[in-house]
Amino acid sequence: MNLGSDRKTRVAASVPYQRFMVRPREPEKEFCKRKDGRRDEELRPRIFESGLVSDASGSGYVEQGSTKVVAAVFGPREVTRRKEFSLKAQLRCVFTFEPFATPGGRQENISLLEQRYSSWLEESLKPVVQLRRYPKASIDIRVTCLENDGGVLAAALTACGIALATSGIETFDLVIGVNLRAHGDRVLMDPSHAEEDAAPSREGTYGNVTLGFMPVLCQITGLLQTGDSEPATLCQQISSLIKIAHGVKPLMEECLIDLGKLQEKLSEVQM
Amino acid sequence: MSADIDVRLFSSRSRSKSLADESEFMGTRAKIVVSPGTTITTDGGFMRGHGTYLEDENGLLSAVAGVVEKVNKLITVRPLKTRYNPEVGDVVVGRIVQVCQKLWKVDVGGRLYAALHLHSVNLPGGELRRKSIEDELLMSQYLIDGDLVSAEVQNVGVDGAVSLHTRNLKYGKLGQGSLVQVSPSLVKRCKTHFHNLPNGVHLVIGLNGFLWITHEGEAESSHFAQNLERVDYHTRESICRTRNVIISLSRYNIMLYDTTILYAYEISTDYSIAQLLKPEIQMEVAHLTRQKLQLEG
Amino acid sequence: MANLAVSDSEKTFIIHGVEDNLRCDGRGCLDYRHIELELGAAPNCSGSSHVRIANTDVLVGIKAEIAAPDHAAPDRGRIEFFVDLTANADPEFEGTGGDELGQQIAGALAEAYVSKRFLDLSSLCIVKNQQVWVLFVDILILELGGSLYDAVSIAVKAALYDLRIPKLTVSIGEDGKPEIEVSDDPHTQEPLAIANVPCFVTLSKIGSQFVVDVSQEEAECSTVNMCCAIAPNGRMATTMKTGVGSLHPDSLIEALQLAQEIGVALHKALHKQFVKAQELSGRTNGFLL
Repeated sequence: MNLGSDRKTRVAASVPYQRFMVRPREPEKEFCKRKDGRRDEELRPRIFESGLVSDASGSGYVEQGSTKVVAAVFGPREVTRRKEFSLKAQLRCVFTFEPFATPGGRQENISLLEQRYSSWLEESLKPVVQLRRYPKASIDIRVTCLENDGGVLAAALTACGIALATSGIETFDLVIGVNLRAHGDRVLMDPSHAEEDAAPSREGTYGNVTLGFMPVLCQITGLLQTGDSEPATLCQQISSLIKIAHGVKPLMEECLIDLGKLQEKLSEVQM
Repeated sequence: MSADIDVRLFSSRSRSKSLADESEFMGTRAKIVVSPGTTITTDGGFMRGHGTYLEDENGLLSAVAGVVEKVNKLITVRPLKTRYNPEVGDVVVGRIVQVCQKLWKVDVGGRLYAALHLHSVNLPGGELRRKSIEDELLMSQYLIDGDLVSAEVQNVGVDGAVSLHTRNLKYGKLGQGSLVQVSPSLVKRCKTHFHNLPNGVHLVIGLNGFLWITHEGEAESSHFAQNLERVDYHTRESICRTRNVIISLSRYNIMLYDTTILYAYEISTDYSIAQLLKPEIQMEVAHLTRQKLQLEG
Repeated sequence: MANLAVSDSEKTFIIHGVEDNLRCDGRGCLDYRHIELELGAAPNCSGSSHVRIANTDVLVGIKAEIAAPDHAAPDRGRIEFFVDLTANADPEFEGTGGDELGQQIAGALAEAYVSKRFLDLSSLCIVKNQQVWVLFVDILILELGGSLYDAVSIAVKAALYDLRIPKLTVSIGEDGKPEIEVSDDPHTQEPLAIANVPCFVTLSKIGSQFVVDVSQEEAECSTVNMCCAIAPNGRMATTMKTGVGSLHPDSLIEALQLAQEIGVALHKALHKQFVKAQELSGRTNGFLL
């Protein structure tokens, strides 16, 4: 069947064994309590790290619960594939899921998701970087997700923010990614993968919202909402996300300043 | 809140009745329309002009779809649709596409980009002098990619390469306003291509089919320095209306020059500016303009 | 999107015009240009449509096929989007040049159609766990003149309206496997319930104002767009920020509200014409008329 189809519907050669598991479909329980015992607005413990990728101009690592994302910035450097003369730097972002990042079998249409995430990240990072400072140059950002347990996009953006900040590339502000899951009247901050994918409540609002935010300039650099919502609800959710972002900012600064201290020490040793 | 959203069906598009009218209008002078490969004449006594070619057995054949024109012994076929064919002295409006050494490349809608040499522009300040190396370095401050200029064709090379000049105060960089592009064959060659219309609009009708619509104040302001002054609402209305009127006329193949544009502008005042985007109203305006032209002409 | 050079002074003129609520072509900030549509533009498809907004021209064909369901949703049909940006729209799209933008649009559409509240695909189930209808939505972009997301989503909705799926009879065969028989009577073909299908409303920020249905010149003046998929009941299926700029939260709120109002009005206007177009479906006069 489907011979010579130009659509990317490949006949799967193998099937993940999970498909045959007799899974008691989780009843659409009201999330009385989150599985990890958090309160609705509570975030998972996060770890911010910088300087993991030694070859890159700057790199960031974010752990958000068990979601793990690495971002590395390369450049600014000469454009290899010159399209046209431009007074602005080109910024490109490539996001990849490691094959072991997602539960279940290898996903077939993961590359589509990767491309979507890449372009979202790219558009969310462009307002952050002072692209006019680097005419004719290109800045490349590689983002790799090592484990996906919800909030990958937000974690990736935060990781990019750290990577950019440590790379010495001039930016306007830090950028922080935050996300939430709406479920009826409840708003779950920093949801896990299971919460993100949970069956929607019978009625009312549901869905995921991811926000990219520059805390000092108070600018939204990226927004992605899915599910079913209303303008007023979304606005409320965005303002609570902004609050969260402000809460995350000190943590991020701590991570960046730490690196500064480390380098100071290093230079002392070298002298 | 926004006005109603106008959704319509393709099938409700009215068949343009203008075609019939046109032949009536054109009927005053019988013209021969030919398609490529049509034998124009087998008489050997004619000369081969643009848009024609000679073949031994069939005589003189047309190479394009267009109108046959005869000047004495010379036969040419003027194509119905064409890129702009520059001639020396033409007033054109063009857009800078590239800053090169000593010259700007300008898109005038022709087959090739035209060249505007540094030595054929009047630099700000106006004094005439040899252009120095400093001027060369400052070129991108005068005109940069995307800027619009009005200019005159100075020279057309054998290979079709065009050079422009702006050595006259009426030419130069264009400021705030709106550009409309139409087919160059719709622009009528006139004595002047700079018009101050009674409604306060200043119009530059480039022979290459680029029409620049601005207001009188802008036309008089100094070139090169960017003018950030706000165009007042009333003037802006006239500019927008003129723009839509020109588009309406061009869609129904009415020659563009000051009279037609003015007629159409007067006729269009029955409608709001945004209404002029709708095909049936465009047709109405074009139709009435044509009638008025026939009456007066 | 095709890059068009626009000089700084022209941009100033456009931005001031937007502030005065009088755009270059005489429209107000929140006015659409007229939208033209027809149904049944491609008779070889189960459903098709052709939509044109000024210079943006979109052709959509839906082919329904039978396939195994997604294991995550064994009792629902599937809908898949493929966007083809032809080199007619912009020479840059030649070869693989348009793939990136195409996938972005396809992804956004998939996101807007994912919820069963907007499009219930369970009616497309034939035999649970075994056979379902899959709708392959092929979107062809013939010309590009701004408002791409809006035009595409309108065309997709129109094509879904036009969609007729043949009726099937399922019987259990001797070997216990279900057998499918397709009725060849065209009158038993069934339409899909599309009452809640969303459309994209794109608001571009020019200066300090939001503008719908931007022309290409205007698009050059804008750095940030809000793309909202609005359902006829005013709910939002997906929202995203596109473009290279950023937004203040306050203006975002304004944009969302505008999008909702416009979206609802758009759906109303569309639906009226859908009903009319249905009667004329398939009787096309050729493309450019």
